Amino acid sequence: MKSRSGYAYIAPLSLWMGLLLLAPIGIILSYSFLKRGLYGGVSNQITLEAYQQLWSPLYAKVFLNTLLLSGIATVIMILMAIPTAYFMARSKRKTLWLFLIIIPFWTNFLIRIYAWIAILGNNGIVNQCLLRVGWIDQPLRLLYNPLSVILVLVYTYLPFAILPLFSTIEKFDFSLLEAARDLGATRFQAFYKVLIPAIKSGIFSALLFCFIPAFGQYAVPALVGDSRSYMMGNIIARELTITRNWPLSAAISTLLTLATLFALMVFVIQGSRPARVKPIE
Amino acid sequence: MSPQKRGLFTWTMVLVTLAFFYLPLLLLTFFSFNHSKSMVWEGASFRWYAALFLHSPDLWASFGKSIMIALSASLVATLIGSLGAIGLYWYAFKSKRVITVLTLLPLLLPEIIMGVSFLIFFSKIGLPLGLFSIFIAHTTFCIPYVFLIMTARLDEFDYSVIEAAYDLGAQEWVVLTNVILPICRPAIMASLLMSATLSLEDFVITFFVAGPGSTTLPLYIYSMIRFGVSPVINALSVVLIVGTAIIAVLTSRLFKYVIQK
Amino acid sequence: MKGCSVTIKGVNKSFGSTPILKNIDLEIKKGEFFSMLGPSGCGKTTLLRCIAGFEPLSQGAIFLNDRDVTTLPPNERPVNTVFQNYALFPHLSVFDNVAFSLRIKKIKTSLIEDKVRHYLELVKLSDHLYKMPNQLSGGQRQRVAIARALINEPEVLLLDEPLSALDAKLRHQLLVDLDALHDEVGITFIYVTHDQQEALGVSDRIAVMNQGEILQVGTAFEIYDKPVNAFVAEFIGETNLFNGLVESVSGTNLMVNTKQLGIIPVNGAIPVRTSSQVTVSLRPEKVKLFHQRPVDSKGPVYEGIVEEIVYAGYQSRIYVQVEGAIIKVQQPHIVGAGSDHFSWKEPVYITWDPTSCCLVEVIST
Repeated sequence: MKSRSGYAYIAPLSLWMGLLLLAPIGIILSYSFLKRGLYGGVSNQITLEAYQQLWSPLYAKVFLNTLLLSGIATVIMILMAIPTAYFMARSKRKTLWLFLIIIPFWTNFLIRIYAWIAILGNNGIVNQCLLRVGWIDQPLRLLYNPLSVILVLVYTYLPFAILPLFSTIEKFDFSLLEAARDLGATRFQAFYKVLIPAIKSGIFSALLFCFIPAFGQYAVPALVGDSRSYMMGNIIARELTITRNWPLSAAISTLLTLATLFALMVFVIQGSRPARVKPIE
Repeated sequence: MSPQKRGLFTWTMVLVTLAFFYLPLLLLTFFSFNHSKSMVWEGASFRWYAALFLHSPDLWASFGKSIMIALSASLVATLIGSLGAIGLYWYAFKSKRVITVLTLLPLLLPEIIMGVSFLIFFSKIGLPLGLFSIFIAHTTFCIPYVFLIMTARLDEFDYSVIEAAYDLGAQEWVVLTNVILPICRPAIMASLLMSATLSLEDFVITFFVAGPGSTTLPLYIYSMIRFGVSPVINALSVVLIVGTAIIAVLTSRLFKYVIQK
Repeated sequence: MKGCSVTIKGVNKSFGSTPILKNIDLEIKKGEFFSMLGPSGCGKTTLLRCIAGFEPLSQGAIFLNDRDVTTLPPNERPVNTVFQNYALFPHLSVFDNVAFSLRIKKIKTSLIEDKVRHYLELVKLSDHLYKMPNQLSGGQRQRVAIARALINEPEVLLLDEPLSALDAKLRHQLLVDLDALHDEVGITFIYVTHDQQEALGVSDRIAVMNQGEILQVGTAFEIYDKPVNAFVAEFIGETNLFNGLVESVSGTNLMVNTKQLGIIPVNGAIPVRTSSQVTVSLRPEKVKLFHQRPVDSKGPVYEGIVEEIVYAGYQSRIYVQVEGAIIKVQQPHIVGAGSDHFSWKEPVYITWDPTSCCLVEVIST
C-alpha cells in the first residue's frame, strides 16, 4: 500500500521510542564508560574503572545469588504452573479458572508482597499466633531470608507462568496422549514424551515471563530479603541513590541487561527450535 | 484409567495453586475487620476502614495522582501504540523490524533498567522529576503492550475488508475511522485497560523517576509497608482486591487480548 | 468364545445418565476384517475406544484372545489404534513417530532401525523417513499412522474412520491398499466407519449399529440382501420401503397388501403369520423401467410418470410417481441404446421380479 500515509501512522511511535527509550539506554551505556563525578554524576573522562570495580568477588557473589534465587523461583513456578494450566485447559469451565488466576494477577504487586509480610513478619499472623499459644517467646524470623524471597517471587510471578502455558496447552491435541498410551506409554511417559515436547514453546515463554522480572528484581528482596538475598537490582539502586556512584550503577545495569538478553536469546532459540530431525542416537 | 484417577494429580495441583493465591488474600481480608491493631483477633470492627476512608488524606492524594497518570499515560500510549501497530502491519517499510524490536524492548528489559535509565536521562536533559516524568516513563512502558494487543487483533481480521472499503470508493481517512477503528474497538478497549492497570500498578520504575510531591499510590503503599504490618493497609488491600475483581468481571470479555500478551 | 480374537460380553456404557452402548455382545474371529458401521452417534467409536482401553465400561467384559482385558490400561493391551485425525506426534519425524512404541519398550537401536524401515516400506513411505508430519499430505499421514500402529505387532488393529479426512479418490485407493495390507499382516482389523461403501467393499463381516445397539452382524452380502429391519435396509444402500398387512403365507412366498401399491408378492425369509403388520424393501436396482407395458413380466406391473431424473455418470436415478407413491429406480446407461433414455413427465411402466421384494421387518403380529 501507499507508504506515505504509512509514515504518518508510525512517526509518533518511532519518535517516542527513539527519543524516550533508545536515548536513555544509550546514555546509561555511555555512563558506564565514564569516570565518577566528584559529587555524584559523572565527569567527561572515558575509563573502564566501573567495570574494573565490578570485577570483584563481592559482585560475582551478588550475580550468582541473583541467578540462584531467580532460577529456583522460576523452576518452582514452572513445576506448579504446568499441572495447573493443564487442568485448566482440559476443564469445561475454562473462563472460571482463568478468572480466578487473573484476579491475583491484577491485584496490586505491593499488596501481594504485603500479604506475606502480614503473615510471616515479626508481627505477622503466624508469629502472633505462636506467641499467643506460648510455643515461642521470641518471634521467629520467617521473613527477611533467601527462602522468603523465593516464596514471594513465586507468589507474585506465578500467574505469568500459568497464563502462557494455559494458552499453549489449550491448543494441544489431547488425542496425542491417547495415541501415546495406545502405543504402550504409561501415563507419565505420555506426559513427558508427548505433552512436554509439544508445549515446549509455551514452557519457554513461561520461563521468559518469570525469569526476566525475577532476575531484575528490586522490590521483593528490598521488602522481604536481607543482606544474603541481595540481588543485582538492589545493588544498582544502592549505587545510584546512596553511594551515588553512577558509572558503577550504569555498568551493573549494562551487565544485567546483557545477561537478560542472553537468557532471552537462549529461551527464544530453544523455544522455537524445531524438534530434532536426527532419528537415531 | 478411571476418570477419578485421571485428574487426581492435576486437580490437587490446581487446589494447591488456588489456595496459595487466595489464602493470603483471604487472611488479609479477615484481619482488615479486626478491632485490634495487631494481627491477633480481638473482635470485628470497621475502624480501619473508617481510618482509611476518613483519616488518610495523603493516601487519597496519592491515589488521585495515580489516577491522573494512569489516565493520561494509557490514552497517549494507546493512541501512539495503535497507530504504530496499524502502520507497521499494513504498510511496508525497510525499517519495520528495527521499529518492532525497539517497540517491544521495554517488555524484555528488567524494570529496574528502565527506571535507572529514565532517571539518568531526565537528570541529563534537566527535566525535573515529578508527575510529568512519571507520565513519560509510564507511557513508554505501556506502548509495547498496546502494540501487542493491537497486532493480535489485526492478525485476526481479513485484509480484504480494507480492500473492499477502498473498492467501494472510501478515502484513506474514511477507511481508518469507519472500518479499521470500529473493528479494532475491543482491542483498543483492552489496550486502555491494560495500560491503565500497568500504570496504576507500577512501583519500580516510578520509584526512580518520582520527585518530591509526586508520590503515587504504589509509592505510598511502599513507604507504609516498609515499616511492617499496618491494619490500614489490610483495609486498603481489601478495597484494592475487590476493586480489581469488579473491574475483571466488567471487562472479562476483553481477557482474550490481555492474555495473548 | 474360544479362538476368538475379540470377545465382547454384555458391554454397557453410559456417559452420565445417557446410555451410549446397550448390552453389546460380539465375537470377532482371528484375522478377520471386521467393520462397525453406523450413523454418527451410534456408539461405534465408543465401542472401539472401549476395546482400546480409553473408556472404562459401565458393565460387561472384553476379552482379547481369551484373556480378560476389561481393567487393563490402554498401554498394556495388545491392540493399537489408527486414530481418526491420525494423532501423529507433531514434534517427531516420521521415523520417530513409527519408532515411538519400540523406544518405550527400550528395544535395541539397531533393531528399531530395521523394523521401522520394514514397516515404512510396507506402507510405501520409505522416501519420507525424516520428514515432519506437517510436511506430509493427508494420505501419507494416514499411512504413517498405520505403520506406527502395526510396528508394535498388535493382535488387533483398530481403525477409527481412518479415511474420513481424505478426498473421495484417495479414499478409494487407500481402501484397496488397506485390504492388501490386511492380507499381508494377517491380524484382526476392526474398522469403524459411517460410510457403507467402505464397509461393504473390504469387510469380511460387518456389524451395523444404531443408537448404541448392534442391529445385525453378517457378511456384506447378508446385510445387503437380507437386512433384519427397515433401518439396516435403508442404511445399507438405497431402497424403497413399504408398510403393509400380510394377506397370505405359503412357504417363503407372501402376499402383502401395501397402502401404496396394493397387493404385491414378497419374499419372506422371516417366519410370519397372516395379518401381521410388516415392512418390505424393494432395491432400486431391481426395478425395471419400460416405455411400453411389458408383456412377459412375472411380477406386478405399474404405470407411472417420471417425476425426477438424477444423472450420475454410469447410471441414473429415476423417481417414478406410481399411484400414491414415489418409487426410486436405478437405471444403468447402455451405451448406444436409445431405449434407456427417459424424459421428465414421461409416462412409463415399472415391474420387478417377484423374489426381489423382501420382507425386512415384522412390526406387529
